[in-house]
Amino acid sequence: MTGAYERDHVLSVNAAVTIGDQALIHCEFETKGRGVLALYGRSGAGKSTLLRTIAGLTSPSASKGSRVSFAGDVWQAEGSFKAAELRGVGLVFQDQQLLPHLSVRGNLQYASKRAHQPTGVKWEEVVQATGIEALLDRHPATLSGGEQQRVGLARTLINQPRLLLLDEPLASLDPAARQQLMSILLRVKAQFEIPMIYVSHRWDEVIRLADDVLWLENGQVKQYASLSALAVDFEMANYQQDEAACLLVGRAVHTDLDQALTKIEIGDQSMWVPDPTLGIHQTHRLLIRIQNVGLSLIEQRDSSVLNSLRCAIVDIELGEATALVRLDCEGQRLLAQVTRRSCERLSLAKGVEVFASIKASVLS
Amino acid sequence: MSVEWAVITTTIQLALTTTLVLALMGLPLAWWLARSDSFIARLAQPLVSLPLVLPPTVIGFYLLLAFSPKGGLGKLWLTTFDRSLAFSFAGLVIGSTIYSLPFFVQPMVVAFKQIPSSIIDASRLLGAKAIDRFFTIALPLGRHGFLVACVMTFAHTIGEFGIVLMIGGNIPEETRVVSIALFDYVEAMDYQRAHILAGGLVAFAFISLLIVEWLNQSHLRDSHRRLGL
Repeated sequence: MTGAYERDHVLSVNAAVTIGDQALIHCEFETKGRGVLALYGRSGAGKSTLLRTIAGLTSPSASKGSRVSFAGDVWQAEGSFKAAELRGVGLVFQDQQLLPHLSVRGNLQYASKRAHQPTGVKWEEVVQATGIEALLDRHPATLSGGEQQRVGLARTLINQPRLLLLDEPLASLDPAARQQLMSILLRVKAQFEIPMIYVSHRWDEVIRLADDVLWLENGQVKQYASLSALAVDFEMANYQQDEAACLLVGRAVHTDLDQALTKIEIGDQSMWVPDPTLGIHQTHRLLIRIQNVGLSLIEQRDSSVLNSLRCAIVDIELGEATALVRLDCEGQRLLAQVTRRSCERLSLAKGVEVFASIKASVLS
Repeated sequence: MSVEWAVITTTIQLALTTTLVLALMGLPLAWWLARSDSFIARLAQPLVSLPLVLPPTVIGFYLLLAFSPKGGLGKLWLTTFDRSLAFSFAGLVIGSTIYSLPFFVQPMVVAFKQIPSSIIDASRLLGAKAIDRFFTIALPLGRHGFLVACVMTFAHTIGEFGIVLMIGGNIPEETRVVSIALFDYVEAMDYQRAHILAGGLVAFAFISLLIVEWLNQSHLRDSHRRLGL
């Protein structure tokens, strides 16, 4: 069931962009009107082109035949095209987006003077959430890449768009800055009620942030599903190969500062993750790389792997040398990749109860 | 014996007025040329550059026809201001503006094109409309190009000869400028005064180019400092 808020924020897209006689994208979808939709796919899949079409930055002639509407407001249709500056959309770019002749404060003021909506977010709230208090009097050229992206995000929030688009905002950052900005994005997602569309070619980012995923390939929608459904999809796992990962959602119940671990409850079971900073009593997403999931028929108590969760096998897909195993763990889906040999040796089959030993790496 | 001072003041007046007119007209024109990829803009680009390759006498000839009391512009001018446009200071300004157009517009187009499109896109999505963007993005970020364009336009107008010859009429304190006076002195075998004007023009041109060079250097230093180099 959708509420009034969702209805007021549904984006409906039928995009067709061609350059010369080459079709760049051709896809159709409708958003849920809240949360984060990830546009996922390889470089060159058409993610940025699709995002720019939504924003109104693709020329009307190149995107001829496209239809874009938001909350019943037609942005583009046959014979009509609403200019980008009138759509009330915010876009955080990959880099080079701050006005270089203005200070950080000047950039924020530029955005607040032209705000798309009259009320809503407060300056202090945004500055605090993005952690840019100390940067206000600096000039963009003196900021690091991560700082520039944080200011870019703050500026967009202060501008109060009805829809927030993010075009690989972490792509040009080093791992530490990447981590920091991701935490900020998660805070923004929780704190500001604004639907987001997030472009990324990295599955670990998608898992941390997204609610729904639109998987683009060659400019077309390959799949459009909720993150949890797509994360345990065999086809997606094969597509991602070494990077394939799925997620478990659980609640932090206990921190062991001594050993730098946090205990996460998943249904009636629990697991330890190597991060003592996770907020207790909060829900967290655990990124589980499918190669880090091992299966055994009896619970492993003498292994170096800390976690062992009782699961039931739902489905198996045999490959040449490996097999993908879909598991049900406390009502959540999990994916494991094992060799075919192990699969046969353990007589793994649908309905068999197994123990999954898991190294949990990234969390949010 | 000295050169006529009126010649120099008239010349400077003409160059200043032309630069001012071009600053008002040329900035929006250059912004449009730099940003638009429409068919008309692609047609306008070579049109703006035409004075670079045409002999000034060709422009002068057509302007003379347009300025004549029987020509469209000349007739309109005559009925509005009750005086002739040909052989007047105003006529010279129009001629100089057309002649110096590329010298103002080209450096501005280059400067505007250097503004990253992501910055312009960002300002659009923040809600800045076209005129807003012109004043808050284009002008502040193109200011280096603006200084270069002004010096080039000023210097180039000082040195023009062909068009002035055709439409000026060599009227003292109205249309008699340095380049024409120099021509007169040489015709009259007055080499001493010719030397003063010619030498002065060489020095002036050299200083102008020096200023442009200095502006370019300081711009380079500026952008290096911005990038932290």
